[in-house]
This record gives sequence, C-alpha cells and structure tokens, in this order.
Amino acid sequence: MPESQLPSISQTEHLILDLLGIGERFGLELIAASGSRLKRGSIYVTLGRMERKGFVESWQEERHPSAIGLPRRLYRATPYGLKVVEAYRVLREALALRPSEATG
Amino acid sequence: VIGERIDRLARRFVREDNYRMIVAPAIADLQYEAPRGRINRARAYIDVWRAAGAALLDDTVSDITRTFTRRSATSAATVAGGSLIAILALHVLILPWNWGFALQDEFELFALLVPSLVVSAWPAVMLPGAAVIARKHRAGTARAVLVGACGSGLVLIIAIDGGVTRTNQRFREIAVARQGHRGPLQPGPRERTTWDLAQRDDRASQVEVHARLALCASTIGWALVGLALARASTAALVALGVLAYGLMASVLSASPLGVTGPAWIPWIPTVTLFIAGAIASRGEPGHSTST
Repeated sequence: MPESQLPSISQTEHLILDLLGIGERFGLELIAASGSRLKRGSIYVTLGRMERKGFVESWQEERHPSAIGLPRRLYRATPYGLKVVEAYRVLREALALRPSEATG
Repeated sequence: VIGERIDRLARRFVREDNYRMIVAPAIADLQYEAPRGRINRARAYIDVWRAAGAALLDDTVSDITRTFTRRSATSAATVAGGSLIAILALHVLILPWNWGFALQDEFELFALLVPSLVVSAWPAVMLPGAAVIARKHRAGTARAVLVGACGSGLVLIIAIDGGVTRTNQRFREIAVARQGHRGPLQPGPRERTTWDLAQRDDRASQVEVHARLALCASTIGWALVGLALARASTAALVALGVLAYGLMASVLSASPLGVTGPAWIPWIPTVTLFIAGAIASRGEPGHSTST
C-alpha cells in the first residue's frame, strides 16, 4: 500500500478488531460475541480481507494428531490493526468537535 | 468425514490462499458443529457453500482484473478486430455470388448486412482474442478468458435481439421491394427476437432459437481453442480467426438445419467445438488455480 494512502476500515472490520482486542478467538466465537452483528456466511471473507490488510493474523489450533477433520482457525488483532482502530477513534473524536471547540 | 466432498472440490477450484483463509475455516466449523444437532449442521453446511461461493467469486474477480489489463485487452481487441475486418472484406468480395449485388451498387444493403455478419463472426474471433490474452501464462488466465467469453456470448444475444433482427428485416424489405414486391412483409425467423421465437410453435422458429443460442455458446468453445494456440504468431491468429469463421459457416450451412432431425441439431457443432477446445487447452499453464 502506498504510504500516502490511508488504510480503510469498514464497520464490520472495526467491530472484529474491537472483539479481538480482548484476545484471540475462533470465528464462531466472534459471531457469538458480536450478538449476531457478524454473519456466519461472510465472516471468513471479512477475516481473510483483514489478514491481507495486515489487521489480523491467524493460525490453526493445535490438536491431537489423531483428531479427525480440519483444524479450526484462531484469530488475533495485530498491533497495526489496533493502531488503525485507535487512529480512527481519535479522528472520529476530532471530527465530532464543533469548529468553535476545535479552535479553543 | 463430514464436509470432505466440498473440501475436495474447493481444493480443486479455489486458489490456495482463499481456500486457506475462507473455505477451510468454514469447513472446520462445520465439522466442529456437526455433532451439535441437525439444525446447526444444516446451517454450517449452508455457510460452507456460501464461503466457497464467495472464495470462488473473489478468485474470479481477481483473475479478471489481473488478466484483462488495458494493454492485454487492447492487443486482443486489435487481433480479433483484424480477423473481423478480414471476414467482412471477404464478404465484400463474394457479395455478387452470395447475395447478388456488388458493394458499389448497393452500399445501403451491405451496410444493413454488416450487423448480421459481425454477429455470425463474433464467436470465431474469440479464438485470436483468447490466444493473445493467454500469451501471458498466469494462474487463472483460462478462468478469466472463459468468463470473458461467457460475457461475450451474452452480449451477442442482446445484440441480436436488440438490433440485428431489425436490420435483417430492413434488409429483406429493401431486397424484396427491389424485386417488385409491394405491401407489408412478415418477418421470418431471423427477423424475430429470441423471446418472440420461443413463443411460436413452428419448427423454423424452434430451430432458429437453438441456432442462436448455440452460436452464442460457441464463444466459449472458440475461446478454449484460442487458449491452446497462445504460441501462434499474430498474423497466424488473424488468419485462424478467418478460418474458424469459414469452418463454422460451412458446417452450419451444410447441416440439415430445420429439414430433418431434432430442433437441437445446431448444438452439435458447438458441443463438438467445446469438447475439442477443452481437450486442446487441457494442461495449458493458464488453467492452474494455484498462485
């Protein structure tokens, strides 16, 4: 990404980063914690996009070698992702100020 | 193991990174939720298919974006356009024998004939176009070219119904009027829209519907053949486009359309072409979905 371009973040991505700020989670745990705001059918598309943007990182759960089926995936917010959320929070707060308040 | 079949399908058709990030976690959830009752399992199944569909769509969009750059699209359009112009030029040469008039005498009639000729030649010029695009062998090129050919086929049917049927009717009216016929002229199968033809019961209309749809679908077959000819030179590709059109026109004019056999007979050349193209382009590097 060019340095001059600001990272974009959608509301869903923002919500996921908020939920991951507490700690690492599985996709289904994120859906449950979101109170149905995250949809089961699209969460992995969003998480995949966020991973490409560098907002989250993921890895497969550790399982017993004899376990059957595919391992689930755990997600964690990256320091960069949390920084972007924080930057947007500061920006929102700044934009919420009235011009008279901003000039002191 | 539950979800094994869709896992195999996804590994085959979805690019590795999208499989890992989108499909595999959804399948893992399905396997995790399966013992938790039928409703949870059914929902998880639907989610896996949705995830696989989303991954496939993302792959396709990314393949199209990477394949159809401004440069590659311009090159393909130039070579396909070269074939198309050569085909039109050949038709100008054979006008007196084929249609009974010369260009200098009946320019208006020829102008009315052009849309119909372009539509007939369009699938064949997919061959040089696809070949030029496939010269840069990248993963997913074949998928992008085939999606482009499908889109081209759709545009073709829209063009036929949107304008070509009207120019065909006008052509007939002028041609018949010059032979002394007066009064309104009922449109024939080639002058009716596909929807109009589909409502009619006569055999000629049914055959025309099949012929039209088979022609549009043949864009995919010619594109597949083009994928196998990516190494040919530009001049050879222009010539191959003309040859492809000649072959298609000869097969269609020689086949007993509308006379004997079932109405779907026009599909035979298209299906044959599709099979030949699929075999010829098999194993080309552009068919790979891996990154």
